[in-house]
Amino acid sequence: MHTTETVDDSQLLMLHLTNATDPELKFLRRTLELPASAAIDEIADTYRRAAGHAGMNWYRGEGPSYHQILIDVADALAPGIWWTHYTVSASTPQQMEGVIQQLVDERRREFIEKLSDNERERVLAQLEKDLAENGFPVSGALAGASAGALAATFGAAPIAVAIFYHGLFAGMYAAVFGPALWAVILGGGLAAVAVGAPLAVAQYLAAPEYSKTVPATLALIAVAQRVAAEARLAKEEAV
Amino acid sequence: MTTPPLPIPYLPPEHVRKAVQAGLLRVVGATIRDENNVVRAHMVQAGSRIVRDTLNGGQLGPVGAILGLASSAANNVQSAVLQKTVNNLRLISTVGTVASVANVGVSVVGFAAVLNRLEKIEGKLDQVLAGFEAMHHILSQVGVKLETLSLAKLKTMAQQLSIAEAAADEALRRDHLLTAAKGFAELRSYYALLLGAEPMTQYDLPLRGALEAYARFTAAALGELKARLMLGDVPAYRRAAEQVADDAARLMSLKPTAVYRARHSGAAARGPAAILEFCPRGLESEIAKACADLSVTKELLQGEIHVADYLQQNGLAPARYLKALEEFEGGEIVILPIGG
Repeated sequence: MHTTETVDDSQLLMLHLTNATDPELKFLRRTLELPASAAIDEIADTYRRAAGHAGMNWYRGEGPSYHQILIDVADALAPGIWWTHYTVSASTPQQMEGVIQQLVDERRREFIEKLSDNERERVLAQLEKDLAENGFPVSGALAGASAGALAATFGAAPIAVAIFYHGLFAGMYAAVFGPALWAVILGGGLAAVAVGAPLAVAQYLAAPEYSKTVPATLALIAVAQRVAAEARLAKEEAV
Repeated sequence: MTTPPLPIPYLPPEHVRKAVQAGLLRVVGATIRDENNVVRAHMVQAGSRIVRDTLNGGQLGPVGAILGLASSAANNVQSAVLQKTVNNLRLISTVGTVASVANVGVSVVGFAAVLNRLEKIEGKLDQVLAGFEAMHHILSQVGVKLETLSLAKLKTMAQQLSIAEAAADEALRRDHLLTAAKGFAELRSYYALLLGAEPMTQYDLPLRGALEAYARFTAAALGELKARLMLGDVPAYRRAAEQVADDAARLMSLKPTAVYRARHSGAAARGPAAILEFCPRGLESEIAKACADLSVTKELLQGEIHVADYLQQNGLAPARYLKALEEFEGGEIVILPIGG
């Protein structure tokens, strides 16, 4: 398995696709509406073409580079702002992957803020149950927590171990990507979590090009994160 | 500072420390090995009272200080490797940390501490196992019911051992020891089945529930060995220790990357959102710590066989050995020489 630290932009996309597991490739194929047999070359080409059809890329001629796609996706996820200040010359692909992850964290917070009182109570109850099962009883401690604090706790160390056991954020992704595309990615059904009010960014993503590019990019970044985590664990094993 | 004498052969810790620092010896789990990886000594916990006091106070005794682990300015020679072993030999009193669950007990002498730890295990595994489909399938294949693995069964056997320790009548003592040995052996084999399903790699099983399964296996193994040792039959104890060592090697040699990847695959099968959310901060370190703790526990279980070597080499009756360690007031660790 190759890591991304010393790989240049032109190879980074193919590296992520090479490192992707079958479920990760399945996610990408579904997002890009490709058949199950589509090879990674075809996934890469379709991904770049989908990004290339987006408005800002019309004048760029050939499909944009992975680095440019990352900047475009960051622009798409940035709340209320059409463009971020990042450019190809002033950033690295790895840096942009980190920026996008932070923007997703902000979307997560926004999602929680927009939950109804009932839905938030349900989320809290599930979260406290997960925490208790994992040895972190916090009964009552999360009640009344602000959306920002809740969102921050989702990323905190012990809680994060528990949180992904339920599909809380499936609802968020449905809101961000649009229910129709999310249903396609899921393979036929929406997650059984309240979608909540659409997020501001969803309007921008309603354009079909970005509705594929953004989830595909998030999946590629998830591959990179998993690979990096496994590399760190492998280093510890070798000691 | 000198170590108080023991009525059984042992190594002064200051000598061992110097040899470790000089690179002549190294610490692997609870064993101390030479440059050819031959076991030269084995560290064991001192007696029940010491271990209980250690649990409550968390302070190192004089032996720990002699080993160079004291933090005072007057004695600031540190040995990171010995520190790690001591930390793992000493039962951690905070409930809920990974280490405190995996390292439920580390030697037969310290079994009183195992009882103490069992009281703190909340039995979450009982609830979790009920929903663990893979376990139902495995148990049904060998005709074992889920309630056989309940925490209550383990505690019952621990109580048998406790009664045996207190019994004044030899026949009654032996009777309770035989019941405990048989009961713990049975539980060990059932928990080994559970561990064979690789609970650490199962996405549906919370990490801590998985670790509780290992904690219970460890408690059952140590309980069996303690009962065998108290029965006084060293060859039978050795055979049981060999079986425990084999189980530990087979079941506790987990690679963090394999666990991480298996859980990721399980998450991905659950749904696409899980792929996007799988890398939360902290999961990686939890898995790494869990695997590291299990590795140490494995080494400690495998080291129990050296107690049989020590007893046979020195012609010691187990009763005399156990009494000597339990009454030792020099700290919580004793270093026993193994081999020539």
